[in-house]
Amino acid sequence: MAIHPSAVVERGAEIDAAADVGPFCLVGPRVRLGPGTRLIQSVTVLGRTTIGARNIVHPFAVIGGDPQDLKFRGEDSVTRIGDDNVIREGATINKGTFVGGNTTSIGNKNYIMAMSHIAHDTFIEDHCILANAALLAGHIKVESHAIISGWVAVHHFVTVGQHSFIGGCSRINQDAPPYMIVQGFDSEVYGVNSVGLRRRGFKPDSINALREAHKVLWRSGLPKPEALAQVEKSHGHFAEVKTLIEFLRASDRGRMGRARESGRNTPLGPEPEEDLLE
Amino acid sequence: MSVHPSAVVDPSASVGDGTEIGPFCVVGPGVRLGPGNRLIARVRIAGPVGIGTGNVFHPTAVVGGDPQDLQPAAPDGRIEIGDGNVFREGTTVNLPKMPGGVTRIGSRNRFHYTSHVGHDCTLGNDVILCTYAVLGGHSAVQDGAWVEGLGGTHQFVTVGRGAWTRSHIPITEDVPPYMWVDGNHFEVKGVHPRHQSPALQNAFEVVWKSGLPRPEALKRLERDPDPKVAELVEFLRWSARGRFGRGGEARRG
Repeated sequence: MAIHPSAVVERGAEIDAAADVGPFCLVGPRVRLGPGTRLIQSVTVLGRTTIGARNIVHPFAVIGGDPQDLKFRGEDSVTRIGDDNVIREGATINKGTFVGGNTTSIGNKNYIMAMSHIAHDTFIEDHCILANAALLAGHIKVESHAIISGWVAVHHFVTVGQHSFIGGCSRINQDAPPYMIVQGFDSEVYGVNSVGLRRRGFKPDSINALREAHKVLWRSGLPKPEALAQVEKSHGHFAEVKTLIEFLRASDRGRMGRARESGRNTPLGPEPEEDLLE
Repeated sequence: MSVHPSAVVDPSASVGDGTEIGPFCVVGPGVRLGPGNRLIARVRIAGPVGIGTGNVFHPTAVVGGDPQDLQPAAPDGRIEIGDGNVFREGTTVNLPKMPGGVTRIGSRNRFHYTSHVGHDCTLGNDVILCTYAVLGGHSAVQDGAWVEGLGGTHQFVTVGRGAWTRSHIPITEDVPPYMWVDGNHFEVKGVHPRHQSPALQNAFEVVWKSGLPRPEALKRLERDPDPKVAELVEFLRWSARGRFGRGGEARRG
């Protein structure tokens, strides 16, 4: 273990023997750092925060800070970060709120670029990329392999579907469907993220099926329920199309195009780990 | 040379005369800091970085971080910074990822709050990056260009000399010299007011307003004696050789 003499590690922090804490870092008393995790310099980790193995946290990132939320009353909430993530300069990751389920959670192998913000109660799965200055408001779910480009602002309670690609400077105020490219001021669905899907080894048949589904769902002008029924009939046997249909139906069941809106005021997340609760 | 007692300066770093290193700064091994630089506080400069004279680094600027890429930094890459630049708070300048690559910054540039210079970027002189402006990897910005805030370049974009890009737009194509661009779908709007001249105005109208096919429009401008128009024509021809409107794409892979 290497803790730089100028770093402040408060008593009670559990730092793995193979973790590395650089100069001027601050590690709070209820923080756990896994093996191989590296805080480069001037990183602040506060609250009940668990950071797994082999994460790299760059200078001036703040993890586990209080939520930027008027509902927050100082509750003892949790931040959980998995393995192999990279968190770049000045990124902020806030802890959860009681209303939102107490937990902000980030999975594995995510890349969170400079100055991006992950607000309270947000769930990020695995292999996601947040580019510079991407802003995630509270209670958001980002599914695996989603890419959120620079200066994108995502509204509270939005779900960003798996393998979706959000273009730069977009304003995402409704759920971003899986496998799609979404861009613009009104979360417009542009087409299938075929480049991303090809790179990740999706079969050409599946990509074509998604393209056909996109045509019917967003280009035909059919009313949504009818379009969904038609796609289900013609291409519903493709697993990806099935996922897409289920996602869109869930969004419709929510309010304002956001599936998670229906969970407003009820806890959305999984319970915090037992051993973290007093 | 003055180094605050709380700063961490590696013994192998070379620090020039009259350079001030403020509280809580870190200067890593192998950094070459010329004379008369000022690191105000909490600045990190680490990695193979060479810095000229008279630059000012404001708190929380980070120079020499790994590329923001899923691939690691090139083992022999480096950052070269000229003279008289100002790096405001939270600015980040990253190492290249191409083997033997250089992230190069000229002189007298201004980098405003949290602006970002990605891996393998090349900047000329007198460039301004406004607040939250970001240069994607492999981008180039020529002399005197101005990139407004909350926006920035796609990878491999070149911003031409004296060009101006408006705020909150993604810059997905090369920005022609002396022009200004705006819009969510990249539109060349006109001649930068600072470079306004009848020749450039005519060139703008021929290329973007006449409806002529691009090669024909450029052919028509060939005989124009104005050097700025010649530069514009050459830039547009170079740009068309790349893909997606980005001349730098030819360097990919």
